[in-house]
Amino acid sequence: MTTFNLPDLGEGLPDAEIREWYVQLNDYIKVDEPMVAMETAKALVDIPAPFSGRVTKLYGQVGDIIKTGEALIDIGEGDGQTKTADQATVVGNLQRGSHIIEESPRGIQTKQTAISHQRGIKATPAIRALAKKLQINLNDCKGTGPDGQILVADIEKMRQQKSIKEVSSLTHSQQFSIADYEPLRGVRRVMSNVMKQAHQSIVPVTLVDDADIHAWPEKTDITLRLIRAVMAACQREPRLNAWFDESQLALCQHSQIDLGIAMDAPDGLFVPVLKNIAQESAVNLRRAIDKFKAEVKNRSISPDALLNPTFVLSNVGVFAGRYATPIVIPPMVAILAVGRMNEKVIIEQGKVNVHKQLPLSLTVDHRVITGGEAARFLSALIIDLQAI
Amino acid sequence: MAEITLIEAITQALAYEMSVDKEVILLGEDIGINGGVFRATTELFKKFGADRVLDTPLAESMIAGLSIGMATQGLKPIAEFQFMGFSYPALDQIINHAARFRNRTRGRLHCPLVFRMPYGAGIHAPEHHSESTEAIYAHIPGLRTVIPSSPARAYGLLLAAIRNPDPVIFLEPTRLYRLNKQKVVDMGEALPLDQSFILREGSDITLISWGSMLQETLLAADKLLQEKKMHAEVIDLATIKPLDINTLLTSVEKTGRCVVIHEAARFCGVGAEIVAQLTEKGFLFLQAPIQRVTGYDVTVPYAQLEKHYLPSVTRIYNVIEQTLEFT
Repeated sequence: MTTFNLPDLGEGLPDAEIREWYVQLNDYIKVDEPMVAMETAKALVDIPAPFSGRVTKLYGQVGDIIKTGEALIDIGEGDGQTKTADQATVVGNLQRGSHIIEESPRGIQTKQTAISHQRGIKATPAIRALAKKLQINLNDCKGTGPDGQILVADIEKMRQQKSIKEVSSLTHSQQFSIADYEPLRGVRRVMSNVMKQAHQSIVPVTLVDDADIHAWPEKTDITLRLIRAVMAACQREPRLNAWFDESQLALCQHSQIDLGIAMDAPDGLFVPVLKNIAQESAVNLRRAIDKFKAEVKNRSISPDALLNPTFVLSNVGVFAGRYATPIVIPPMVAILAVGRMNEKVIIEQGKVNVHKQLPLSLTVDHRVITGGEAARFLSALIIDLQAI
Repeated sequence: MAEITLIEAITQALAYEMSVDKEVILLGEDIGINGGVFRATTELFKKFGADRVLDTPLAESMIAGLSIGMATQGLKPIAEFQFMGFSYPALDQIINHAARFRNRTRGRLHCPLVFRMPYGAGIHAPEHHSESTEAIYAHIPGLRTVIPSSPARAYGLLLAAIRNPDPVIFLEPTRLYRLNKQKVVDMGEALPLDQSFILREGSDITLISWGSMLQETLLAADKLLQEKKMHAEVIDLATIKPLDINTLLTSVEKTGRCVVIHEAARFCGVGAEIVAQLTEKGFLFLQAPIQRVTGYDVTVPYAQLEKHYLPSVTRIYNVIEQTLEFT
């Protein structure tokens, strides 16, 4: 039988209080198993059995104070009865394990042949994000940057290759090849770019209405009447005859109207410009329009004639189409399209009459033109057209 | 060759070096007759006598100052602080003198000394006894900071620390003192003092830890293998400073993903330095942000809260999952 005395549970703590006995009289306890919880001034400490054996006496009950160095428990019958009761620490409770570590002091030498998860890809997080967005596998990219780093250009190249592949796989099923595609040139190429830019920047709103032109005499020159009406409308709402600088958020309102006339041609869309239309006589305007038509047809028009319109008139109704959603070309803020003339049944003072109608479609850039301005412009246009 | 615990390996390394090098002197509070708080120096007093195993007064600043004096004059003192939390009174001596002597005297004097400090939480100790403030020492130019995680590395790294001509902060994880055993070859072979050790090889993610947190880190790596059939490369940092960035970088360049695990508080912990260096040098290889699993930014709690403070296997595993799922 051995008496186990309470060890110093802190540094020089005089005593400790019994909080809980984990063993009872006559229990057999094994070495290192907790036998009692003691509360010191500093902490709650589990005291493990110093050796295996049977409990023959407990020197206190829960709540009793045991002085450091005084008897705590008697343990008998076990082996190694004369072992000292050193816990191997004076503070806390060191867990003793039986796990045997089987490793070299220097760890392991990694195999150089191990397959890298990365396959040596070098790319910044921004590049990785871009590749993910474009659904490009970085494994397929060849890095052309320093030390094989993948650059934006490499991703771009992959994207182009990929889209060509996609196009060719698409057209292949339709028995077309990439060779069947003809690149856009000249005016068509310009149109493609200008329209894309317009689509990206303009916030369009389109108003449509009809002008009743029943009162017009026979053989009225529709284009000249339209030019006159545009002048009247611009006088009413001058903000539609303007350029908008979106980078400065500034509007330049023009005092003179340089009217672009949209003309269709086999090579594409041309918009020759009639300069300062208010100063020109009807005869001169007609002459100028005819000249433009001929020049567009034989492609002899001077590039200067196509520059800087302030407003555009597009007469699409020559062929078909009543209303349209014409595209405003920056930096202009409005465009007027005229559809195919048609007849409408009108009830006039109780009588049924048939009147000619001219369909009008006005698109404005809503970033700078209000709906009210557009409506008043269109109204002024119609009033002028309907006058004799 | 018997299997021994980490604390026994410390004793063994001390005994070995004392027997081959007469300049090695031990000093500290109650390390002589009582064998120290954790009994690291048991029997050494009997074996080498009071001239070489010195019981000191309860004055850490004095212990450090005494050690510096001995070291600059040709001895190789090994001072034991009872706990890392008690080393702070000695910071003036350590930072202002031990770390600077070589530079201050332009190489004429140097400080071949070791400060041994039991550190870390997990043994249900009171306040001040669970500190893991290795970042404080790692921050100071002129000091080496070393933390072993197994009996064999404790033996080899302590020998290397004693033989190193400059001051070494040798932090001993108390939770591991008697937790595991390992066969240790007592032939006086030191380990390199500037190297990290790879404990598991893997190519899916790199896990970096040190001290007792490697227990949980290795368990998390086991769980990853069981549940996802994925292989973590587990690295024992071992030497906190100088940082063996090459070993870490080689692994992260391979895996592209990394989690750093330490029990020290998060803010300005050593994990922050590791993440910064890996990001600077391995930026192009990263497939996910490098994450940290750490203690919280509070004083280490004791009693019941201690287990919540220390990163658990679950906490580590969850962050590993997040890092692996990041695309």
